[in-house]
Parts: sequence; C-alpha cells; structure tokens
Amino acid sequence: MEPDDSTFSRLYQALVDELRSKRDHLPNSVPAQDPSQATRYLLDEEIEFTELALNGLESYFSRKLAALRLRRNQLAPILRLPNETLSSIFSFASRSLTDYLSAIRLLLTISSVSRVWREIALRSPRLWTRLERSPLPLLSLFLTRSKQAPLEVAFDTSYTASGARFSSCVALVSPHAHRLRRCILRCQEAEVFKSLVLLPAPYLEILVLDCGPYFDIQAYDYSELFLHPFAGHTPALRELTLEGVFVPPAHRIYSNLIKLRLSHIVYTRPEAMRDFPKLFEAAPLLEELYLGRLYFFPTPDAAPHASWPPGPATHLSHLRTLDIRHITPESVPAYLLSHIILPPTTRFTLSMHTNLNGDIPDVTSPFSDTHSNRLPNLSSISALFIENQGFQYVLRGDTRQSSGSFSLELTANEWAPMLATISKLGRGFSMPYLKSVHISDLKSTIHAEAAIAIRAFLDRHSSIEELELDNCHSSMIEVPLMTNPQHICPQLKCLIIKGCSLNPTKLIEIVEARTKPNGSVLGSRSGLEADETCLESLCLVGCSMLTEMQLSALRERLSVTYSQERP
Amino acid sequence: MVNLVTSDNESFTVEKAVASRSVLIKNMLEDVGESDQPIPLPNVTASVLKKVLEYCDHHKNEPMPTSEDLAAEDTRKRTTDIGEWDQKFIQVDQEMLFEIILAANYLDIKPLLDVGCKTVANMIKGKTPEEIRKLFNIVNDFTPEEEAQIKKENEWAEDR
Repeated sequence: MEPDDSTFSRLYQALVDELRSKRDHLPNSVPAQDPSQATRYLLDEEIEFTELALNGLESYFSRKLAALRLRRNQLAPILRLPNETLSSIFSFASRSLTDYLSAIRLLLTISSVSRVWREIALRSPRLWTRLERSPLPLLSLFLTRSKQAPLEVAFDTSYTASGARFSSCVALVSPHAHRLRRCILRCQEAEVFKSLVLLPAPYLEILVLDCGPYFDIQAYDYSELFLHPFAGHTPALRELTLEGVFVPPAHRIYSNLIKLRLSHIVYTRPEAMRDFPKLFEAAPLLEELYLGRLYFFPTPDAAPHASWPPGPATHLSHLRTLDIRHITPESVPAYLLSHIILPPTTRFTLSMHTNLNGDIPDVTSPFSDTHSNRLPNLSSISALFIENQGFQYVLRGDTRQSSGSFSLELTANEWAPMLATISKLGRGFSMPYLKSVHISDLKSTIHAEAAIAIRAFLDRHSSIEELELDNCHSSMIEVPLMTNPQHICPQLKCLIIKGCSLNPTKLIEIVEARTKPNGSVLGSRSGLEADETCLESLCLVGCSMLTEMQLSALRERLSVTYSQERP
Repeated sequence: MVNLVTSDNESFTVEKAVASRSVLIKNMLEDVGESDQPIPLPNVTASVLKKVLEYCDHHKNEPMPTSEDLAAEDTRKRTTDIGEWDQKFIQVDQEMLFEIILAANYLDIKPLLDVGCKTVANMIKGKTPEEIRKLFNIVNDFTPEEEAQIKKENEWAEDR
C-alpha cells in the first residue's frame, strides 16, 4: 500500500516551493546570460531543493516514526511495570548467568530492545558493575555506565579469552579502585596487581590476590610489593585470600576478617616465626582460616621445637573451620597452634606430609597437654584409616560427632616414614575415643614388618571396637590373636577381613580365643579375660575359600558374613 | 480475620496471618490496631487479589524475609530458580503475570515480587532483541543513529 504519485507530487511541489521562497529572500545570484547555462543553473537549483527536501523529509518521518513507536511501546503490557521493577528483572536475568560473556551479551541485548528498556538499563549503574577480562572499549563502557556503584572485578589470566591483556584491564580499572567491592585477581606476575592496590578501598569486602596454585609460584617475605596494600584502609574487608602474595602478618588488612586463606608463601626472615602469630591477634573475628603450603626457613635458634613453651594465645572464639595443610617444617603447625584457643565447635583439619628428610617425631610429639586444653577436639578421633594409595601412603583420622571435629591426614611417599609415624601415633595425638581402625593395601613383603608397629599401635588403644583389614599381608591377620598380656584390642566386637589369604585354622583359633561358645560360661574353650569383650561379628569378603564345616565352626561362636567374591 | 476490598469493590475475608504477608497490610493493621474496618486496596482488582491471596495462604507459615535477607540483594539475584509450587502458581498469561507483579509491588510482598521478576527474567534469557520484542509486543523504536551505536557495542562483545 503506497500513496498515489499525485500525492507525492503535491508534497514535493509544496516542499520545493517553500525552499524556493526561502531562497528568494536571500540575495539572488546572477543568472547566466547563456540559455543553456541558465537551464543548467535552474536544474542545479532544483536538484539542490530536491536533496534538501528529501533530507528534511527523511529526518521528519524518522522522528515521527520514533515518536509513534515510542507511544506504541508505552501501551505494551510489560511497560506498565515501574522502571525499578524492570531494572530488578534485568538484574535477575544478568546476575543469574555465571558465564560472564553470556551476562554481558544479555545486558547488551536488553539495551537493544527499545528506547525505554535502554534508558532503564543505562540508568541502573549496578547492572554494569561486574567486570571481567573483556575488550577494552567494552570494559570502558561498563566503567562509565556503572557510574559510582561498587565494582565486582575478576581478572584471571587463566581465561582463554583473547583480546585485552591482563595488565591493560588492571590499568583501566585502577583509577576506580576506591569503588571496589569484590576484587579477584589471578595472575602469575604479582607486579601487575600493584597499581590496583595503591589507593584506599573503603567498600572492599572480598579480595583474592592469587599468584599461587595455578602457577605454582611462591611469595617471599622479603618482597616489598604489598607492604601496605590499599594504604591500610579496607574497613569493610571480610574475606581475604593471598596465594603467592605476602602481606606482613601485623598489617591492618587482616583486621575484621571473617575468612582468611594464606598459601604458597615462603618465610625467610629470622623473626618470621615470632611475627606470624600476630596475624591471629590482628584477626580475632575469624570464622574460617586456611593455612596451606607455607614454608618457614628460620635460623636454627629461631626454629620451634618440642621444648618450646606455648606462647600467649589468641582466643579465636568465632572460628568454625581451621584448615592447616602442608606447612614446612613439620614442627611449625604445633608452634602456630600453641598461639590459639579454639571453641569446641571448630572443625579442625590438619594435613601434613612426612618424609625421611623431615623430623618425623615432630609431626606429632610437640602437641602437649596445653594444646589439648586449647584445642578441645584434638583428642576426638574415633576412626582411623591407614591406606596404601599406590603413589603415596595416607594415614587419616576423623571424628564422628555433629559439631566440632578434628581430622588428621598424614601422607608419605615412602613406606619407611609412614611406618615411623604409625609407630609414634597415639602419643602426640592421644586418641582415647578411637573406635574403629581400617587398614588397606599393605600386602607386599615390605609391609610384613608393619604387623609389629600396628600391634604396638593397637595395644595403645584399648577402646577399639572395630578392626578392618583389607588386602593386607597375612602377618596382620594374626594381630587380633596377640596378647600383651591381654588380647590386643580387648573391646573388639567386629572384625572385617577383605581380600586377604586366610589360614582357616588360624582364623578359627582367633575366633575361639576371642569368643565363648553358645551357652558356655566364660573361660570354656576361650582365652578371654574377665574384662575383655567377646568378638560378636566376623565379616569375610573375597578371602580364600572356607569349607562348610569351617564356617559352621565359626558360626557356633559368632555372627559370620561370608562372601567369596568382592562386590 | 481481615476484610480486604478491591478496586472493583469485591470483599475478601482472610486470616490475619495470610493478609500480613503483605508488609503494606501488616503495617496498616499495626497502625490501626484491632478493628473491623475493611481495608481498601484501590490498586488491585478482585481477580488479581484472589491470586495473590492464594500465594500468601500457601506461604503463610514461612518466616518473613528479614532486613538482612533484603539487604543481600546481590546474593538474592544470583539465581532465577523458582520453587516447584511457585512455578505452577505463576504459570499464568502475560497480562496476569504483570498484574501480579504490580500487586506484589504495591502490597509490598517481596518474595512474590521476586517470583514474578524471576519469571520474566527467565523469559528474557537466551533471546535476541527481536525475539524479546515479539514476546512482549514491543516495536523497535530506535533511530538509525542509535541503531549504529548499539551495533558497535554488540561488536565489542563479539571481539573476545
């Protein structure tokens, strides 16, 4: 459907006439005397008028069209919603997208729908506060549109994104550091972070400076890069992660923290050991504390050892989780722990790696009675697992209680340090509540000697009620038969043997020694002492075949679960 | 019991616990004290109030959002997941959906407002501007100059 040509003709004539009349008010240029030149002049003039009319018309119609469409859109049901509700909808839509590219595309889509939507989006600074690595013009656009709203920055060199260099992104955001609310920087060059941590950050709540795990880089305590980050002004900071970045332990950045994660830091200064506990004093409100891969190289006279008295301790009364992993040398955790007092509800994990070059006894022995008083869950281990995982040996202890716990994990690449650790276990960490012990995959001839160490360990823990031997050397099967002078594990109720080659006669001997026949009085064909508990159940899975007669003999004494094949 | 009167002059008598899911009504009840006087709701029609009260009745035993919950806006907005019952409840035509959002906004029922906003947000996600326009009956009202600027911004986003 189009208007008639005659309509266009009238419109055209009206426009050209108006333009000509305006021209007539101006001083006339002299028409050429030559007729063809005069005709050319007139045609040039008409072309000029036509072009002017066309441009004017286009502009007018364009404006008219936009106004009509705007009025039309105002009648769309969704635009009856108040602007702040639409802004909230946009916020839900963009914030719920974890992928940054999808989130920014959505924001750009929203601001491409209509003029009203664009205006609402552009007047909602909080929509534009999420900044990740992206092309610089886009980053700049977001910085402008976010106005003065607090920023959430996450720049990570591990992103595969091309385009903007990490340092360029940081440089662009640096003048806005005072607006930071959440800042996550992961990069192997700590130098790049520096420009962003110079100015005070009054709104900063979460900070991650990470040069560590991804890049296996360590920070040294002589580094002066971050001696005074954010000019010491981060009053709102609650969560801090420093991986491969050193900030002095007494710095104000640690005040008011509720979560702190420190890792991949090397302490070389003589006073490093003495200064470290200042961190606890600086952050008494901590709820979560992770200390991992910290390496101390103190001078010999500054090194902590078993005879050190515990220092003045800070009561971390809010601490919910304490995670200490792989701090070297092994004596340091005991030293650090002597400077804190934990509430009974803390979930405490201690993980260490033992090796022949390390001081194995120090892994456990410095934990004194004072420690036990200050760290109430240190003696709460109820289940212990000793496993050969092929590439390493793991000794793991856990508590089974709902609030507050202690988990211990000791790893060793070689059997010798693990055996030495087992030999000493239960002295440094007393385990009066130990109920179950699980030993697995200690089957080769080098593990045969473990029977003696394990026997000694079990002998120190009379509370054990369950013993599981999974794929273990035959010498270990005989451990429950041993006496000293009582049976090992006098409270043993449940014995589980999996994947072991059994000597049926020996097995029956064990059972007879640790049970009494049905209906008989204590002592009849039994080696049980009066205060020893009867073995109640025996579980045999994937062990060598037993005859029906042997099984019947066992079942006369206790409950037997027998399966030739492992599930 | 509380008596509510809609803009089209229909009356609803509901439990106080149900009506008090609306912070507006709760405040009015606290201000007025015990009274048999009906509460006029001039911005809500009967059909919409019926739907809103259905929501309030279902959630009447849940704790009211605290000021801390409301302050943690960023955390709240990190998801557009909607509970199973709420999803079924909000399966209405667009006209009713926007009416419910407007009523939740007026009556100050933040959880219902969030359900409505999340529903619309989910409708927007993954769509092109043209698809959004079609969905919500909107026309493209940008001038060519504005279109050129928008095109440039979108090109930046592609250049990653």
